[in-house]
Amino acid sequence: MSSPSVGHASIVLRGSACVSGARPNPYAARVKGTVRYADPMSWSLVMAIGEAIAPLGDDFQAWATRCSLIQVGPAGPPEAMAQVASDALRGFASPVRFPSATPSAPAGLACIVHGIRGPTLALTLPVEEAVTLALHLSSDWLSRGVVEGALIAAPLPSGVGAPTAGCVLLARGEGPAVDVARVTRALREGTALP
Amino acid sequence: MVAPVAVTGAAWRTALGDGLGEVWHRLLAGDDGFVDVASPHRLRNVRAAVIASLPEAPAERLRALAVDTLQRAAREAGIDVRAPSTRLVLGTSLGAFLDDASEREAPLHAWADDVASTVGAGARPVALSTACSSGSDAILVGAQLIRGGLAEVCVCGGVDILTPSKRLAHSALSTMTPSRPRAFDVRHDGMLLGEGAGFLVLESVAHAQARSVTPWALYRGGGSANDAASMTSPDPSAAGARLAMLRSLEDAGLAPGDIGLVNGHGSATPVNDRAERDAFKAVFGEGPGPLVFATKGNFGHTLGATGALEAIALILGLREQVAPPIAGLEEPDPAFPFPLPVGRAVRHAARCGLSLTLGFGGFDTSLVFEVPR
Repeated sequence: MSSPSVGHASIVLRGSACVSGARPNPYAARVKGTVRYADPMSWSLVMAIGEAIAPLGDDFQAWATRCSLIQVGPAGPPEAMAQVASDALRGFASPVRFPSATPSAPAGLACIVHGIRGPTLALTLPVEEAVTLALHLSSDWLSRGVVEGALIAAPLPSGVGAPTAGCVLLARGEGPAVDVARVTRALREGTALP
Repeated sequence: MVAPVAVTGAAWRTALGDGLGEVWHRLLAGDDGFVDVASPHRLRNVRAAVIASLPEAPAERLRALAVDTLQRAAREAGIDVRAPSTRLVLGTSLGAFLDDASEREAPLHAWADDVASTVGAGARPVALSTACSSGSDAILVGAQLIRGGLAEVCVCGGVDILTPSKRLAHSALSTMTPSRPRAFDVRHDGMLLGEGAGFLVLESVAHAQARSVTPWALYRGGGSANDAASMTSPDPSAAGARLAMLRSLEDAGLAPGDIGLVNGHGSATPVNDRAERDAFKAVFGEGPGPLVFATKGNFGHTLGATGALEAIALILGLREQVAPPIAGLEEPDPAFPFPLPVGRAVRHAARCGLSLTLGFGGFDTSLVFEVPR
């Protein structure tokens, strides 16, 4: 699993974004009937994906059922996890917060908000390691026509302040080979596109 | 269709025991592993399916359960987990994250690293989490690593433990039954929690042949989808489960009519049972359809382990040509479209089967296996 690039020359980066959760969140109101609470880390992932797919406009809606999402990174939703853990110690559980405390909750929330119905995973590995595997899986799904678009997104741990998240969107097409370093950089900085 | 992958070994540890044959016979007898488990807090039901002889501390319990089961799966297959070409793919849902502060301070993959280190794994493990589909997704990812040439052998599966936070939460969510689980029954009103671990050993058919090993079963394909509907409830339209099953069939190069046996998610919550029923209808049509069984009434809902345990039960069902009765099922939902084993084990002649899991956050995964005859 140390291959530096994806062996599918026809897979290209179509978009990327890196977003701070401190920015205004346009999505919470949109799904307030379905989602009563989500961890700020999860919202940052939702916003990063929103920015990465924005250039596609309405075309993304045609893709959403056939778009995959792989969440990568070693951190879970910290606020929700801490709150649920603390509640449990005093014999209480919030049915609203508990589902938001799972490691894969950011990806689950992103699917609800953006209507993503492709294969969905959370690889709880260090980002660079997870990216290698996420690229392999995404490229395979794209090459075989399982999906039209493949998102890889990383909620990034923040020591202090608002969390940030990065996202890349892959698709079939002609262009430079996609490599691990480029995708990792894009997830961290949102600056991988030419 | 993509090349099948050989399943050359398996192991599980459940509230019904840990031997493949021993547990299978208990499933056929309709046994369950539920006992009263003391709780300092008020719960809808104090019964749960627990495993004896494990450390009490959640983080240690999770690791011990994973190490023991994984090692037995590797031994069963005759493979060496220390080889650099062997990868571990380990899934859990919440594991010990909410019940052990040190687990929350560590990276999410720390538990998997510890398991790999304990068994002397020759390569860094893959760790993943997709709620109740974690065990299934670990198998799907392991198969993809082998198909892509990134590993020769994968030991993959899921593990999860019973903890106070999970009991409290499922009690509060009303997903926990006040009585007993009754999947696909007109009186279904929820599940009871359990704990366990299940691991499969996957390798390329060529690798198995080179070792002169006859596969126990073939992994034919996998597919997943997301409900994109709710953090806890399935999509009422059942689109996610339907998509996952159709993708797994396409990956396997099989038609719905080729599937004769299904191990359903069968969590016995009314919303899940309905969504699953409708998804089965949409995929398998109006014909005679597959025989559908479920094992959460025996093992409890083992969360991150459930997909792996159910994959193993499906393979045993295909190999033995019999499906165990659904524990707790007495009066099937009249709208359920396909045969269910009620009260007794049912013989069948299926060669190919499908295992479906539905997870919080909309994670739906479907795996297709074949037992050549």
